[in-house]
Amino acid sequence: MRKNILDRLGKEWIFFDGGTGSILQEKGLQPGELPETWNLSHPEEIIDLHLGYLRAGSHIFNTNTFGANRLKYPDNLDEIVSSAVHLAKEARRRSGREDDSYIALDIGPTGKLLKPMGDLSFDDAVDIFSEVVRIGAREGADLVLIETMNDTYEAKAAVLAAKENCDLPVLLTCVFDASGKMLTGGTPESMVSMFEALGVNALGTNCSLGPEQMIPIVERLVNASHVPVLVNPNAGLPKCEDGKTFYDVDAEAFAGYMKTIAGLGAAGLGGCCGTTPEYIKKEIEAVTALPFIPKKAPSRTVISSFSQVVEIGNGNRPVIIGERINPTGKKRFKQALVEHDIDYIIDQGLQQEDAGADVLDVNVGSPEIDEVEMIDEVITRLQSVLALPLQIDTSDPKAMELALRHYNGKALINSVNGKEEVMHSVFPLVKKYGGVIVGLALDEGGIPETADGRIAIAKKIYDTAMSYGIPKEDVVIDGLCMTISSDPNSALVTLETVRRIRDELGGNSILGVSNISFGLPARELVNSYFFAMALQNGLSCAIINPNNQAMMQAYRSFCALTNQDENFQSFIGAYHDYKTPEKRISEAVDNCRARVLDALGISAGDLVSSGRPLGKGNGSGSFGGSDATGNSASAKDTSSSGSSAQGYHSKLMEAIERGMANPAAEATREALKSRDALDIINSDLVPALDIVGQGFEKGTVFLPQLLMAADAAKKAFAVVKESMEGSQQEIKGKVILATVKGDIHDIGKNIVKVLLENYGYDVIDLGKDVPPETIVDTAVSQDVKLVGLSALMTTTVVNMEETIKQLHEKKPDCKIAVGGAVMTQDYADKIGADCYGRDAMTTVRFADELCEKGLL
Amino acid sequence: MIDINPKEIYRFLGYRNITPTPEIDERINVCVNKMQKSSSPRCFYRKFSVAAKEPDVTEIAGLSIHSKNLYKNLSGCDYAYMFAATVGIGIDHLIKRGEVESIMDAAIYQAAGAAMIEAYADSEVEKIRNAEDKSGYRLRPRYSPGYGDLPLALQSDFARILDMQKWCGISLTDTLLMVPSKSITAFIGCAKSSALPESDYLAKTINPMEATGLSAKGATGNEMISRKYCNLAQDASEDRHTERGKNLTGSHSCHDCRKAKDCLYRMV
Repeated sequence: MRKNILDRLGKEWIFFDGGTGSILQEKGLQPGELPETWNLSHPEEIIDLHLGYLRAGSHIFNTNTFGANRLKYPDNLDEIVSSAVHLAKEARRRSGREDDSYIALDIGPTGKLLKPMGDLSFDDAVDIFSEVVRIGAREGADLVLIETMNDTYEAKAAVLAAKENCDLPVLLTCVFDASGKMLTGGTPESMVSMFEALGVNALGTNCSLGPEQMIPIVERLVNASHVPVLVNPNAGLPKCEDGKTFYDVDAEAFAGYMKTIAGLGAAGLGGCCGTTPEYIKKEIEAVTALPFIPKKAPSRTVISSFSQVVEIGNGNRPVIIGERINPTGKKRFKQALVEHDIDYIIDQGLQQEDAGADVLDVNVGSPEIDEVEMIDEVITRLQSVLALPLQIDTSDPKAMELALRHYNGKALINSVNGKEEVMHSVFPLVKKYGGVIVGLALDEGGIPETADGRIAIAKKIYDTAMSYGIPKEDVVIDGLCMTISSDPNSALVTLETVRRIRDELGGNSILGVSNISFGLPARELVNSYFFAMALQNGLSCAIINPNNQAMMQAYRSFCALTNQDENFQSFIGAYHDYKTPEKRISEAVDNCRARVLDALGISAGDLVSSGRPLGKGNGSGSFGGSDATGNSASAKDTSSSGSSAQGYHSKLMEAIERGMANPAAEATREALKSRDALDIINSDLVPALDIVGQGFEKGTVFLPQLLMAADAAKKAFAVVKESMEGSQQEIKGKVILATVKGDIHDIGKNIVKVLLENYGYDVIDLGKDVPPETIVDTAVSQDVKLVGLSALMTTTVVNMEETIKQLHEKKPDCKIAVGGAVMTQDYADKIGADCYGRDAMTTVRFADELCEKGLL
Repeated sequence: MIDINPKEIYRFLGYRNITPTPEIDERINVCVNKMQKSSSPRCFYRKFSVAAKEPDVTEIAGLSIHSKNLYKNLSGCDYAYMFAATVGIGIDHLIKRGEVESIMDAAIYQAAGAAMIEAYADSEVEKIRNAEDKSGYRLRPRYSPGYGDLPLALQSDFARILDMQKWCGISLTDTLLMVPSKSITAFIGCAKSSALPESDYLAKTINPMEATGLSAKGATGNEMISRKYCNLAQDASEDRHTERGKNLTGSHSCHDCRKAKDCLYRMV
């Protein structure tokens, strides 16, 4: 009677089969012919293929379904997959190895990359895989083998599909390149972290590399993994002649390498492209000579993104979780949520990454918006632009579930607490999707006032988590920071709790540090010193604002003092040009004095001789921080308008024309002290940008300078916007921009967007891959009279034509500008567009023309 | 590390022959460094014999391609490579990030990414050139689908014949856009001799709609290709080895094939 494969994997040597493609090619499969079709047209050959491996000794052999999915087989998927399983069963019967061999339902990639990089949605991918799993499980496969995955996100879709549609064991192997990276950035460690969390029974690597190149990757997998590691290399590297592929490692050498790999701790071994039954036979001979020693990595607390792993505790330096993506107490952020200004939110994330955050908290709970939709959108976008792991911060189980489902990695989850109801609604999600869960040390009785009380709840949380199969290392306890202004003892209680979590419970801790100072002045003083104290008591992770100097100073000093900053690299890197606050103030005063004197045309000497004390001053320092060219502030009038003889040319204008973003922001802040926001926009910002725009059109200024100017103007606008508080910049008109359906490239469109916004237009950016109906509906409902469309290839221009047609029908007063690599003036005319966006500025000028004619 | 010629980056940024200011040059350098770190270049190719039966029709790897440009490019060639290369998805991440942080950086990544894939492809083709040199073959300039009248629809054939997803990690959207975006597919012909100057082997009119005079849909070119091996070959009642140049159902173009609706290569 056949034993369950899970009772054998990880306990004895288990062997997989070898390559399929090359064998079928030998039998007559043509290059480009789909191998799964042979299940129907050449069944005996397929049985023969399986028999070869069964006779060589493989335990697990794959159904001929690698590329079988409804994208490739829309008509007869069931037939293809069913026949594959039947053939496998027949082969097994003929081989006489009914008791000792296992049919793996082989699932390969869909052939399409998932959004947002590609155009296949995660949910559709799950659907596609689910169909295959249902058929294979129904027909009697023994396990599911998901292999040759290039993308962790697609692999997740496949694993979920398997877990949600059958009870069979799930195995996963991914493709790495020689440097240990997956195509979409995954590493052996990040892959292990993510898929152990999802509950795969074994994992590893296959394809792309020969056994020798795989050795370093296998080492990393074995060091990280707590489930059996599988290795199926190619027979070396491929060489191609006349449509045929040859590999450069022979069976003998292959077996030698596999013996080495077995010795490293791999538990399941086989082969991939180029290997044959002979390879497997020799491999089995070589490996079974070694005793099987199960290897297991030590328990660790890890979270991951699609490519980065962050380990918590275990002697690692404490983890910084950036808190800025959170509407609580942040007016501008709330505004961004309501306005659906996702770019602003993403930008907050990027800034925190630059400031040194290891992980980003994501909290978008606000009564005015749909939290479930919003958290999904924000997480999806964040994980497409940065590689930091995320903390999913929500109390809404629906939001938590969707975020967990769509997260590409193993997330930190905030939070659960000691309340029975909450534990029983959150733990199942954590078990299903994996993750490290933060447990708040409070329960139905409220927040305990003593460390004893909080430790007791921590124990309860650990135990209940364990009952769901969530191990201790996947739980982090929040010791709770209550403000000292309402309870002077509260810091001591928190610190004691944190210490005991480390010393008594051997667990990891987390705190939302800023809470401690609520109600007091000089909050950052209290926060930063408390932070250091908590770190000293063993705090494993902290939720702070990494942009805050005082907090990061405390952190870096702590790391330097506790030998957690090798060669003081981080500390010196941040503070090598540190100036004390007194010095900074003194320098700023000097700068200001120098500028005033300059503007008044008086030299320092005149003032001294008039008897006024001057103090230190050298009259020319760099302006407020780094300035790209080190220019001093001289002869530029920022405080009055139109008074200089050579025509109005302010410091702000210069900064924009030269594309200097930080000076532009500074100059704007300065100017706002004495001038009206709208005046600054109309007299400085827009004219400066226009000077550059005209230069671009004349050919004296090039695209990068235009864009740098636009960047600088954008920063200046951001400063103005933060101060405007309700008063609106005069909007010249609304413009819809979209990259049409089927097109996933939008940089051209985004360039035009930045320029249009700078020129005073309200841009409704519908994004990319936008169906005609969405564009038309938005134009109609918001009464928009200018639409800009972009399309890259002939295939997507087709959808542009459809969009124009529908717009002409449903909103005839709307004008349309078109652009994109494949577009020409001729074609634009042919399809009925009103403007051919030849370069970055053309659409802006067209909009201005329409605006002047009152057509917007 | 892929060696990129800065002039190529300037050219893609629109500078033509002018060198940008030091500030911009500095920005470009920073971006290029980030790009090099996040690139994962991969390349794969297969060699096939080439035949030309009718005027303007080239046969290779089970495909019959009606294209004046390709016909000229491969005329006189005994073999041709089908070639695919990518610099990886890291650059697309950087572009996406730039779109939020700094549109200027995004534009640089876009330009530098294009320069990078061209440089990478050039270096890989150089290896092929050296190998072919030994057998006395010279390479024609590489020619990619979607330029001139060589149909974009061939991308799905490249994907299938080269198993691009497996070997290079390149996949196609429904609209035949390659992902990662900085990827190249191309035919590279091998001939004993090439009478014309190199530029003559490339298209004079690059835009496919201008080159073919067709609509966008027509210029995508599914009508210009017929294929010997469709996914429906398992239908036992069809004789798979049909006359050369005709597909499964005896028509000259996949467009007319009565199984087109269900075909893998169907275009919307």
